[in-house]
Amino acid sequence: MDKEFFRETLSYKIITFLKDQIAEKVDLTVYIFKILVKVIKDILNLRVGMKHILNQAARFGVDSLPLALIIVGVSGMIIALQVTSEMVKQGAVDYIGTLISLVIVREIAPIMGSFAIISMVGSSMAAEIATMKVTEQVDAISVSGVDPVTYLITPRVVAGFFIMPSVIVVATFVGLFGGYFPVHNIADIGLSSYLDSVWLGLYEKDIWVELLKAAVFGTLISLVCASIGYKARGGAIDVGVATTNAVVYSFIVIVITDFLISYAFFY
Amino acid sequence: MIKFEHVSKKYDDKVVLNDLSFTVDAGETLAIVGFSGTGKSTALKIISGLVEPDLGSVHLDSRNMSMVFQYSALFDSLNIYENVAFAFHERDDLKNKYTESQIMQIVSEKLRLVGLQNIEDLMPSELSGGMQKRVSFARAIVTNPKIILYDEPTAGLDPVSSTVIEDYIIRLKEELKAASIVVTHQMSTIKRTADRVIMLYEGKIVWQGTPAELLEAKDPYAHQFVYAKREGPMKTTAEAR
Ligand SMILES: Nc1ncnc2c1ncn2[C@@H]1O[C@H](COP(=O)(O)OP(=O)(O)OP(=O)(O)O)[C@@H](O)[C@H]1O
Ligand SMILES: [Mg+2]
Repeated sequence: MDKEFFRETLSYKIITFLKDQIAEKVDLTVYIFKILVKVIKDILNLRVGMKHILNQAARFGVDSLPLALIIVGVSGMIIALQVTSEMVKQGAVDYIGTLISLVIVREIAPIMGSFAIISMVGSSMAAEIATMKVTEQVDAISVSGVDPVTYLITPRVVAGFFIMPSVIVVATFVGLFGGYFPVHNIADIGLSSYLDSVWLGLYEKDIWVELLKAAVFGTLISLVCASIGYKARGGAIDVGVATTNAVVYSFIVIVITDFLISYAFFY
Repeated sequence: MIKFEHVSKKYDDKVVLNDLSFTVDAGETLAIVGFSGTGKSTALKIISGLVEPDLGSVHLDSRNMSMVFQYSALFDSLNIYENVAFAFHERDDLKNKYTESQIMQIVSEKLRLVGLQNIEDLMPSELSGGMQKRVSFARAIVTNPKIILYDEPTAGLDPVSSTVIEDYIIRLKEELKAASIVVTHQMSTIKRTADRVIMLYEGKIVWQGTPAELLEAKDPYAHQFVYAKREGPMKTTAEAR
C-alpha cells in the first residue's frame, strides 16, 4: 500500500475518532445539563420526597464508606511514608504532620474518596437506572403519571450533596490516622506531637473548601451517573456501556472540577 | 375517548406506522391484531406519550390513563405492594388522597381480583412470569383509569387466569366507561373483550370489523391471520427483510 495514502487514512481516522469523541462528550454534557436544570426546578418547587432522599442518602453512605475509608486511609499511609523520610533528612520533623494534613485535607480525601464513591455508588446507580430504562420500568413510571427524573434522579442528587461531606470528613480522619503509623515508625514521633503538627497545617479555610469539594463532587457523581444511566437504551450490552461511561465520565468531571476549585481557592 | 389521527412513525429508515388513524370511544374496546413487528406496541406507546409520532396527533379526553406493558415492567427494586400502590404513593394528585390503610385495602382487593393473595411482601423476581403479568395488570387498574392500553394482557397466562383478566377488562369497560385498546394474538381474548378489531400490516389497517366478522371473514388478510396460514398477502417481518 502507498505509504502516503496510509498515513493519510490513519490521520483521517484519528481526526474523525477525536471529532466523534468530542461531539459525543458535548452531547452528553448538554444532556446532563438539561437534567440538572430539571433537578434544580424540582428542588425549588419542593417536589422531592423526603423519604426518597433519606433512602438514597442511607444507601450512598453505607455503600461508599468502607471503600472510601480503606482507600483514603491507605493513601494517608503512603503519603506519610514518602514524606517522612524526606522530611527527616531535611531536618523538618516538626512539619511532617503539617504537610500530611495539608495534602490529605486539601486533595487526597476529596479526590480518592470520590474515586471510591464513583466505583461503589456511581457505577451501581448508573447500572440500576439503565436497567430500569431498558426494561421499560422508566416508561411504567411515566405512564403512572410520575415524572421519572423527579422520582429517580433528583433524590439521588440531593442525597449526594448532603451525605458526601460526612463521608469525606470521616475518611479524612482515617487518612490522618493512617498517616500516623509510618510517621511514628520512621521518625519516632508520638501521637500528641503528630497531632499538634497536623493542626498547625490546617486553616479553617482548608476545612471549608474540603466540605465544599465534597458536596460538589457528591452532587456531580450522582448527577452524572444517574443521567448517563437514564440516557441508556437498548439491552444488557447498553447497560454495561452506560455503567462504564458513567464511571469514566465521572472521573474526568471530578478531576477537572477539583482543579477548578483548588485553583479558585488556593492560588 | 382515544383519537389517533394520521400518525406516522419511522425508526431510522424503517416505516413502522404509516398514516394510521382510528378512534376508540368511551365504553368501547378496540382490539389491535397483526403479526409480530407490525407496530402494535409502538401505537400504544404513542398514545401513552412515551414515543413521539413523526406526523399526526393523538387526542385523549382524560389524563387518567394507564398501560399494561408487554413484558410487565414491574419495578424490580420495589415489592409487590409498593408496585401496585406506586401511583398512590408517588403521583402528585393521589399522594395524600388516601391513608396507608385505605391503600392497603385497595391493593389487596385488586390483587385478589387477579387471583393473587398474600404476595404483597414478595419481590417481582420471586414471581412466575404469569404472576408478574397479573401484578402488572393490577398496577394498571388500581387507579380506575378512563383510558387503558393493554399490550398482550393474556399472553403467557393459563386459560383460567386469562378468563379472569378478560372479565376484568370487560368490567372496567362497562362500569367505568373506559376506552380500552387490547393488543393480543389470542382469539379467545379478542372474541370476549373486543367490540371492534383492526388488523395492522406494514403500518396500515388492512382489515377491520367485529370479532364475529373476523372469524367468518373471506378477506385474504383476515383469513390468513385467523387460520395462521403461512401463505397469504402478509409476510412475516423476517421474510419481508
Ligand atoms: N426503540 C426502537 N428503536 C428502533 N426500532 C424500534 C424501536 N421500537 C420498535 N422498533 C421497531 O418497530 C417495529 C414495530 O415494533 P413493535 O414493538 O411496535 O411491534 P409489535 O407489533 O408490538 O410486535 P410484537 O407483536 O412482536 O410485540 C419493529 O420492527 C421494531 O424493530
Ligand atoms: Mg408488541
